[in-house]
Amino acid sequence: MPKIDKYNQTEFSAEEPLYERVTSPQKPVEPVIEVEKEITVPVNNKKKKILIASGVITVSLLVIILILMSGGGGPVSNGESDPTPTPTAADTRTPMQARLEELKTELRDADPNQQPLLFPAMDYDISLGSTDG
Amino acid sequence: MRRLLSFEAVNLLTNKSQLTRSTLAAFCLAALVAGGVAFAQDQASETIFLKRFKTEESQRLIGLYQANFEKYKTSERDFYLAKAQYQQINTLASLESAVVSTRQVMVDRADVLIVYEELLAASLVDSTGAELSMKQDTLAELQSQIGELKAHKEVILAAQDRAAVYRAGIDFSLLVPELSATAYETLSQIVIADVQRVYDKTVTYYADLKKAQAEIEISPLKAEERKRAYGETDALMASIGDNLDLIRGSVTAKNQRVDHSSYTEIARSLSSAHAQLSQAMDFLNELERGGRSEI
Repeated sequence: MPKIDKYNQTEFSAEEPLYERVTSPQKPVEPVIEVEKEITVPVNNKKKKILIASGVITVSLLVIILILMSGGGGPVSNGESDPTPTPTAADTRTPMQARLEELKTELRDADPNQQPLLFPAMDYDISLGSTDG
Repeated sequence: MRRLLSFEAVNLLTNKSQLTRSTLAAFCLAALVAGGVAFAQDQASETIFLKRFKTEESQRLIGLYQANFEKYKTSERDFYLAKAQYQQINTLASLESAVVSTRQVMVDRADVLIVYEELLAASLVDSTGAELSMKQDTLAELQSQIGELKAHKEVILAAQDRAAVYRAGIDFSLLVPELSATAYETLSQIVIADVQRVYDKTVTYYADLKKAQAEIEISPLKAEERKRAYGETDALMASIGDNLDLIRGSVTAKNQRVDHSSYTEIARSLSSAHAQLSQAMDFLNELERGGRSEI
């Protein structure tokens, strides 16, 4: 108790001798070490993230290219050559099988609900009105 | 301590900006993938759409039709704008602009219809299953309407004032029901011919398959089994034939003109024949596979 009385109570606790003892003169070195650690970690993270991002981009681009290639990105065929099987497929199929496959393709093309030539939807009443109105 | 805190803050900011960049990259990728898929689907549906047009001429016409339709849509927008402006401000300049855009949209509309009718004619010529006499009558009608549309276009181009443009519009409105009826009549013939052609080829295929399988000797048990399968397939093929005859008969015997609703009815009936034909092809596939396994 008398010891406490010796202290000036208007001072902040951080300025007390007890705390001053804890922070020895060598202590300020510590933050430097921590700083180094802190600096090296983001660099590694950054590299990692860049690698992951570039990997994802490459894979995505490959997927897009594959989709575009399989989605008929090439020139539009005139339809006559489409039912013809590829040479490898023709080797394994009998002529009767090939004929049936061709018929199935023709049937798909003949779907009456897929008729693209419906009467064009336009405004057939276009008029500015007569000179009276 | 303060330095440590500031480094942590810098680190946090760096992470935050990296996170933002990663999110942005992810969004860009998602957009790219979505765009790619949409583009591919678009291309695929375009290919299916164009498959019907087999000859070079019909492919040229469908390209021209699409381009003309786009042009019409643009001039239709311009016409609505000019008309609204004229109705609002009612000046001579706005009237002139409205008359010019009316003329333009009417010309573009005629161009769309001319190419549309040419495309219908080309498609009808290409369709091999259509009845010849009906086909020739419809082709003659289409040619006559193409001539009328060209004449209508000339009238619009020659129209110098609002009254002349108005008169051309009235004349055109009298032509539209005829154009529409001929178009749906042609379409009916085309869709019926398409299914009829596949049906006829399937009948030939079935006969060939029966002939080929009759040459191979099989056990009596298998022969009985095959007989029953033939019986089912025969009944189905006969039913499809009857349905097609009925549909064709309804088109040829019609006293009134075909319109959009009667065309929809024809397409609906044909859909059922189309589904039956698909079922018949499954039967034939089974028969063909069964025949091969017995060799």
